[in-house]
Amino acid sequence: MQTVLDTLRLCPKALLLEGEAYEEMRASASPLVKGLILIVVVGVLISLVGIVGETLEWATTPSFDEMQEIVWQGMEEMPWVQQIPLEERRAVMEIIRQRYDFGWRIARLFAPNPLNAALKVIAIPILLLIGWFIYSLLAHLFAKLLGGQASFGQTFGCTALAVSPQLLNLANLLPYVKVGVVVWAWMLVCNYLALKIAHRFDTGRAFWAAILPLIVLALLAAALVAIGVAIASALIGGR
Amino acid sequence: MKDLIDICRGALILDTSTLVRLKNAEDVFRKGLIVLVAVSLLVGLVGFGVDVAAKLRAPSLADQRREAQRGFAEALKYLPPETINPETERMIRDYFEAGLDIGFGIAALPTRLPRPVGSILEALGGFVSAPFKRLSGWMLYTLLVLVAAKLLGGRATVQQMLGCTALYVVPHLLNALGALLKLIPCMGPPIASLLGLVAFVWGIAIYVKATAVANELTIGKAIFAVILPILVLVVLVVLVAIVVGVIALIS
Repeated sequence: MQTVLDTLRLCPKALLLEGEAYEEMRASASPLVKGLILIVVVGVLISLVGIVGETLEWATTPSFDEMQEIVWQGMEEMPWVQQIPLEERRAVMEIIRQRYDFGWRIARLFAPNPLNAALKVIAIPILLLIGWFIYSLLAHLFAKLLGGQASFGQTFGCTALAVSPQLLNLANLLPYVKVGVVVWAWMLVCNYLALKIAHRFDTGRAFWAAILPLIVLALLAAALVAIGVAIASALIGGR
Repeated sequence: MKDLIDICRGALILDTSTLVRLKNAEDVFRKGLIVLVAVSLLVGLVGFGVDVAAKLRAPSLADQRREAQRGFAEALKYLPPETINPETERMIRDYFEAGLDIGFGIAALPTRLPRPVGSILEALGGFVSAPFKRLSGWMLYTLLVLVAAKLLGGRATVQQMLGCTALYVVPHLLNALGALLKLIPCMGPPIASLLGLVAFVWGIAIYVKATAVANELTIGKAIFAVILPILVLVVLVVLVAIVVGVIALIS
């Protein structure tokens, strides 16, 4: 428990880009384990708080089913419906309705829902851990190529502290709060600082060690999307 | 607190020594961040108050619908008669009425908590989100400017750059006054817009000065560093547009 509290104590300092927090993590006995615990605790904390905010948002939002029906009725009143030839109208409206319902099914995934919020208590820590692991692994590889001096554990410990900006999501205790991309921009700055301190880098090498994993991941994502699109096109074309 | 007020005052008059003192402070980022968040909340507080008052005193849905219909009928009168025939006008009216049915139909739907609670929570959410919105734009852009400044020989650390440039927000306190002025009919909104413009230009001046001081660059180089990310973005957009255009032409 004391280890968890000691590690959490570093978070505000890491968030405020104070180098001593990263130095302390680098010098600690087991930075990898501490980092792992930190990420799980941060993930659970923000998702627990998110349950309150999302439940309040759900409680102040009308039912999605009713909204879906009202919008459909409004669309049916519009003049474009009358412009469809009478003999085709029924068939055309059925196709449109199917697509319309599909759109609402997707929208429901993003709608506030207490059950989804509760599931995030498991999902968010896991996603944070996966993201941290992949980024840190790539960052460590690039850092070593650039002449970095940190051990595997030190890199992972320091980059775990860079998850601190996720604590901004505690603002989601209130409904309708949008934290936005600041978390990711801030995490990038924290990762830069973490790698700079862990590997004793100058500014330039720390910049490349922090940015190269993101470039690789972006290229990988683009390649996966391209492959997905190619497969989908082949399947559709093959019909 | 006094220290922060002095920093804000110095930033407003583009005082070099204030910015140098801030740059050399150990907690430069913390100070800049406090100023940025405090100003955003102060400005947002006025808007929040106005927003809540407006929501709580909002007329009934039927009255709002009548008002919207009246405004729409007024707007139609200003359309040049030669551009609109009776058939088109009827169609525009039908679309407008269908839109109103959707909007007011949803507004009339029940919620699990009373509607006014939802309205207040929504306004509160907007108020709390305001600093995050400002932080997002500022942090992302400043990181790009820092890279540009480094290419031009800049010497700021990331903490110094973020801490000093955060002061660009101080003139935006004028927006709090603007939010109040907007309540005055007729003359209020244009004066509020003018104040917004003054705050924007003043903020840019502070941003450039802060970039120059933090990076030990000349003002000319600092201006270039500040506009370089936009220039690069414009060039990229143009290049992508050209490539897309060429591909479209070929295929």
